[in-house]
Amino acid sequence: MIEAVLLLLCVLGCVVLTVAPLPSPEFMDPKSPRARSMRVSERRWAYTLLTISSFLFLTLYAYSRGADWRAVGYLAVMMVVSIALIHPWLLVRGLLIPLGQVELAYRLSRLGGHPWLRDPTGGAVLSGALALVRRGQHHQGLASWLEGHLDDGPLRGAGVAAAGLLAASRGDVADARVLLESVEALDPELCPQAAWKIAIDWRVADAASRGAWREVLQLGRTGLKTSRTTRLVTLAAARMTGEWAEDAALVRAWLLAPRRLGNLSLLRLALRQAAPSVSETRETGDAALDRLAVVAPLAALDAAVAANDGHTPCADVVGLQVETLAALERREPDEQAALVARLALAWDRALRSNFLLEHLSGRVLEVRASHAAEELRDQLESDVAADLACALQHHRVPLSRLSALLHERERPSPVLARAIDRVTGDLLAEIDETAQALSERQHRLAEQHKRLSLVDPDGAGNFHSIELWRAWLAVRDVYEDVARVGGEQVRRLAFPTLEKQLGRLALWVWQVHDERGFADAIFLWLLREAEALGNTASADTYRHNLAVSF
Amino acid sequence: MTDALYVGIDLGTTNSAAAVFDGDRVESVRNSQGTALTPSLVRVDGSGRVTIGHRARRFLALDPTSVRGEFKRLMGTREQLDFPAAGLHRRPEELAAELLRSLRHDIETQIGVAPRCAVISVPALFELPQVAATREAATLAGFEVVELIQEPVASALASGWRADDSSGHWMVYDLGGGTFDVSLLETQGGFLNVVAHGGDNFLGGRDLDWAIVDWVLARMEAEHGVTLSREEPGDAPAIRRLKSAVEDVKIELSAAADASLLLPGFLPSGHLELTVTRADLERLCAPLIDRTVEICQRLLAEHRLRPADIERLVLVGGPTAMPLLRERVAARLGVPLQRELDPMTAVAHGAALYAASAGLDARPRAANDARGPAAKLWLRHPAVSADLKPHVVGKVTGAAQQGKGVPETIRLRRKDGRWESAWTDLNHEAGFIIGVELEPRRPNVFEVLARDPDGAPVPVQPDQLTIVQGMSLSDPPLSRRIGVALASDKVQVYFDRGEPLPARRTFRHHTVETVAAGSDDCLLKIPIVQGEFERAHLCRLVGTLEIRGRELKGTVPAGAPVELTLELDRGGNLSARALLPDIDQVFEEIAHLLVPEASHASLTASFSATERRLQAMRTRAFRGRLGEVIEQLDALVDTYKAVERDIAAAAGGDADAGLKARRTLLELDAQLERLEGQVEWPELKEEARWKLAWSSHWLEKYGNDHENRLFEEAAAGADRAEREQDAVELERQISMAYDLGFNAFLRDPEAWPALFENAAAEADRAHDLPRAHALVDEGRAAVRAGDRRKLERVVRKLWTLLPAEARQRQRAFQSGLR
Amino acid sequence: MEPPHIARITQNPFHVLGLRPGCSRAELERAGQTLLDMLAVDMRDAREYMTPLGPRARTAELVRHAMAELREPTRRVVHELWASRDQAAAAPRQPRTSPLSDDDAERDGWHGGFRALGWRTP
Ligand SMILES: Nc1ncnc2c1ncn2[C@@H]1O[C@H](COP(=O)(O)OP(=O)(O)OP(=O)(O)O)[C@@H](O)[C@H]1O
Ligand SMILES: [Mg+2]
Repeated sequence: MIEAVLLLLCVLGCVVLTVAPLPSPEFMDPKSPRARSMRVSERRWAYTLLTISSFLFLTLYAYSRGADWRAVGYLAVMMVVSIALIHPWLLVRGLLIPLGQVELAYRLSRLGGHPWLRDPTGGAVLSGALALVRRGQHHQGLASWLEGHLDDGPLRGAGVAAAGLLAASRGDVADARVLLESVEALDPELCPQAAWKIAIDWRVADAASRGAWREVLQLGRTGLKTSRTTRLVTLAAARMTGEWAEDAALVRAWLLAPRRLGNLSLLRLALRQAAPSVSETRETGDAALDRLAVVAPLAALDAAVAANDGHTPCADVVGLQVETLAALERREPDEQAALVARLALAWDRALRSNFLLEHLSGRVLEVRASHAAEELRDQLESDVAADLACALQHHRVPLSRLSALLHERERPSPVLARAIDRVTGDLLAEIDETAQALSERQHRLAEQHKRLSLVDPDGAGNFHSIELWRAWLAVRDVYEDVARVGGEQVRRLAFPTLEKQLGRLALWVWQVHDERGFADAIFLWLLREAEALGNTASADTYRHNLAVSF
Repeated sequence: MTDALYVGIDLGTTNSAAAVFDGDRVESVRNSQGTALTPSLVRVDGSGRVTIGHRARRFLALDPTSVRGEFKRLMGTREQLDFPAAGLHRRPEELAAELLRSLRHDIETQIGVAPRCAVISVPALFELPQVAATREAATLAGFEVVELIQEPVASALASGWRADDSSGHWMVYDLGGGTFDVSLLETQGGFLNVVAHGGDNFLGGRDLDWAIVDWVLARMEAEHGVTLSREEPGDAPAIRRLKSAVEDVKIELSAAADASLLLPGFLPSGHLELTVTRADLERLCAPLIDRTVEICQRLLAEHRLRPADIERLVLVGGPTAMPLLRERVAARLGVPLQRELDPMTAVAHGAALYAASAGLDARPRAANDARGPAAKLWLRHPAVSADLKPHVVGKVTGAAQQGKGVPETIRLRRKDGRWESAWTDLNHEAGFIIGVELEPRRPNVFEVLARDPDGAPVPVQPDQLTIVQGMSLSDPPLSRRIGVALASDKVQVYFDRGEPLPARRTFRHHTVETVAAGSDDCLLKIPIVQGEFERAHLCRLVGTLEIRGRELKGTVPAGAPVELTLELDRGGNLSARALLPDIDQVFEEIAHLLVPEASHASLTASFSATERRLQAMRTRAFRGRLGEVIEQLDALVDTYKAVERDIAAAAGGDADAGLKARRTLLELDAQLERLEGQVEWPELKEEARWKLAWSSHWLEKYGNDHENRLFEEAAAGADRAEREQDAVELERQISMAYDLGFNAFLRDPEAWPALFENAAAEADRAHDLPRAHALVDEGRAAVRAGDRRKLERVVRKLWTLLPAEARQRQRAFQSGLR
Repeated sequence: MEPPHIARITQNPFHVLGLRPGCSRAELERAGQTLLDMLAVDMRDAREYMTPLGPRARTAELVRHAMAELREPTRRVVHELWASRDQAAAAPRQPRTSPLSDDDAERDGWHGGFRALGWRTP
């Protein structure tokens, strides 16, 4: 009797699970994909629960009726089969992926279930992609076929990770890095944990084989639960970077992780690593400037100019410039800033010196040049500023460090000011043009969509969200780089331009293509940026949009 | 004496000529009629037979439709010239090829061998497609190797060749049948340097002719009441006849004080007879001549030279035979004329001299003569040298036999026996550099002597070389700037004017858009443009390099580097190469373009667009009370009228006028653009003023400290931008300030209701109409209930439904680079 | 390909042509012509030139461009300023390495890491 009550309770629980109302419609549109996937997942859990409880019930029932172990065996097999149908991942992961069965892995995973509940279409493609990378060689036909299936549903975490793996399989490592990294940009609600883990695993492998152990450490410590392999590599990385990890811990992690044979080389590598030496302390920018002794070379230059040792008046500064350019190649950003500042100060002196003007006037007369000496000096000044700007841009030296240096020393440098203005202008132009290109692309796609939907109202397809996703990631990266180099002020000026275009893009993918994950990722990023810049009105808008889209 | 021969050809609009240089003297090539000039006319008769030059000219009056001239102006366009009698169409290149073939034949008659290579002159302002067409014509005519030289540079070489060693600046003024070129040159110690070119591609003798034709037409109408119009295709044959007669009169007036125009049966009432005097001619031609003088003055001013700095002026081209032109130009420009040069053949002579500089021997390549085994030498030296002590560079590339007969030392001996070099040992690469001494102003022949390690003489091949001492010009300069259009509509200049050819330059750009590998709808366009304008869209698009996603090995994200190399060879052939370092892939396929056609429809369309733009500008200028701009707009009206006339003439069958109209329209657009900037600036300043005031008002009321500080920063930035007249920066700073103000404004109790009203007014444009209307109703209710939070939510939802304004700026040829 | 601020030094016409800033016009033409001829017969001596930032490859285009630059008096005066006193003195002949993007790069990577962790090496 007790069994019957148990079963009844289970059935009731399942019914409750399936029909329970969603959160208030104010915050979740009942027709939204998120609500749908929530329902699907609830239903699936209900089935699982039901299967297991029926098995328990039947087993107990059979026992109570004195059945032998064989009946229980049959029941167990039946249960395993039905659970495999509800959660095909078990089969896919254990069998199809290691065998490299791309098509089968994809098709079976399309049945849904754990762990792709948050992204069933993307999850299926990801299964296929995992099988593809297990094959000995890349197969372009299968890859294209899989990629095509990405467009079957909205873009979410597993889909992005799948695209990344496909890129890796193709050999396009840079693209793979960008895409797998971008899995983090998505709302966790729309990104299956498994996809996230897979992305981390690949990135860890990538960083480790590049020897970028610090990156591995960062990846391994993002807080969420990582795979056993990643834990092992992270420990090894701790060892490699000089942070310590006990031998025992390493060996334990190695024993726990799969593929022990393959990982043996890593274990050896890590164990070979000696105990950390005293870690070097890093100089601050100011110390760097002092160490470079800004004043001494300047005095020497002045002396050289005063002595007028028969050379052209710029010979010494040009010498300094040459030295600086060579040095810039192998310095840290702080030092780079200091070096450029020193050079600029030297140029300021050279350009203001009478010697230069006298020399130029003389030469102008000799060669019958058509320009006056002052004009030539101005030209030289603008050339110098252009070169400094170019050097700053080339090494992506953060402008804030430069201005800080000059501020502290209260030494205004007209040449440097000009160079900084140039760099700022270039950075802003970079943003303008990138944003413009993005908006034109959106416009083009929108036109295409309109045209196609006239011909074929249902399948207004041909919208490859992954491509647009790549485009947005690239734009974001351009902005972040510009913000890093340009500092607070440039960031503040650049944001509104980008905000406008990205906001439009997000609204468009959301409303026309129902790509909520995509839109949310953009809104989330915009929200963070707006908050960082203290732009409350914008931040409110994005907070609102994020709330509405769920 | 040397036996090398160098051939130069002046392929003119109206007359062509050829010349041959033997290292010592330049001679004009005579045609079968015994004259040095061959009219650039081609006749194709009913049976398809082709006749050229004077013989074609005879049919101009009898059978005008079978004779075609002035095809040079149409080179590089898609225009076809038809010969109705033969039922044939010919491209301009093909006609030019016929002409070149006949010239080649004349040269062969004169020198005994068919020339293999030649130098052909082209106007300095020819664009790349026109240059390419000229090359093609030469190939069609049977030349194996051709080099092109700009006409004024050729004239300069011709006039400088025998000039004394004076150093200084001078000018070549070349007014031809349809083009006017002027060049500023500088000589120093025998080196000729082209400083700059100027000119007008649409100004020449034919414009003088048209001026006279118009005058005759006006007189005909006044005196005989007969109207003929250039715009009427039906009147075209009569007009053509009249123009040809007028041209004869014009030429006659160069020698005589007056001439009569007699056209039997031209009028319904009988003959047309008119007397034209030099005074009439002067009156009609003066404005055109003055225009040429202005161009010269502008060129001087650009290079900061005064007329007094110019030593002499060389006049070239048919119209410069007119005494009144010579006088007027000399007087207005204030530069002495150089007289001894024949203005009609100077270009061909210069081209032949240049062929020598470039070492283009026209004789067929000598078959390897069997003078027994000899060591092979690879010799390099200037064919023409201004330097009296140039270097000869060489390398032994093959010995006659292994071991024996390997040269170890080399000596050069001048044939006249008055100079010889020391024995020079070969270096580790079997090379040598020997400085030689030249006799001035003549060809110098040197014998090459070689000895092996034992001191025995070794025969070498070649065993002699020739260097002509004289004015040298090693590299022809580029006459029009070439660059790449960027997404910002700016131009990245690759080759500036004056750049010596051949040239190659690489710049690093960045993409502005992500191009996914394997995707069909992604495309990276790299437009290559030619022209002097700052804005890319005003320049001429001469080719594009297209990189399709389908061809990419890996995805190219926005901001990825692209290393673009452009290369121009001596004749101005362009090639491009784009390297994407990230994926290590190279693209080289370049789509070359033709000079766009000037079809009547496209011309009238862009004409009316310009007209509308002019009108709009005028209104705006009036509204802003910008007197200066209005004046400048008025000054454009003349140009505008001229375009109208040219378009009409194009409709009457004058294709050249169409091309000219298109060019002038482009210039007009550039002017308007500049003026637009002048109008927009005050408007922008006005906008800045009220936006700053508005924002500061709300910030004062509701802003916090942080915001106020940022606002002050932005206001200061706007101030600076205004001082520096930087429109982009000003716009950016204002929008920054405005956003801050808006932020503060939202804190006002009345803000959301006001915003709601605005959004509600636009609700009809929403994607999802029912939802938008529902929201509007909801909002109204909220307003009535005074529920601000609810209202805010409604407005935000409404905003997400409203379409983003789809504003697509036409970018510079859709360039994907920055 | 060198960025413009480096090219300003390394492609200074005086360095390209191997001339002193005080050279005459005739010297310029002769040097240029000779270098072009040497490049044409592919002489090894001509293929490299020294700059303050180390040796660079010399091409015919560079030589031509350098000659054109020095013919124009105004530009020549400016280039004179940039031609530092003695070529190649300022900097040692250093191999040009790319800047270190992160300091981990100098340590060993785990070669074969991809394969060991179950991924195909891209
Ligand atoms: N003696 C003369 N007096 C006045 N004009 C003349 C005389 N001889 C020729 N012309 C005019 O000169 C023009 C032709 O000049 P020329 O032969 O120099 O031109 P082209 O070289 O063929 O043209 P382009 O250089 O533009 O290609 C014609 O318009 C002709 O009418
Ligand atoms: Mg001519």
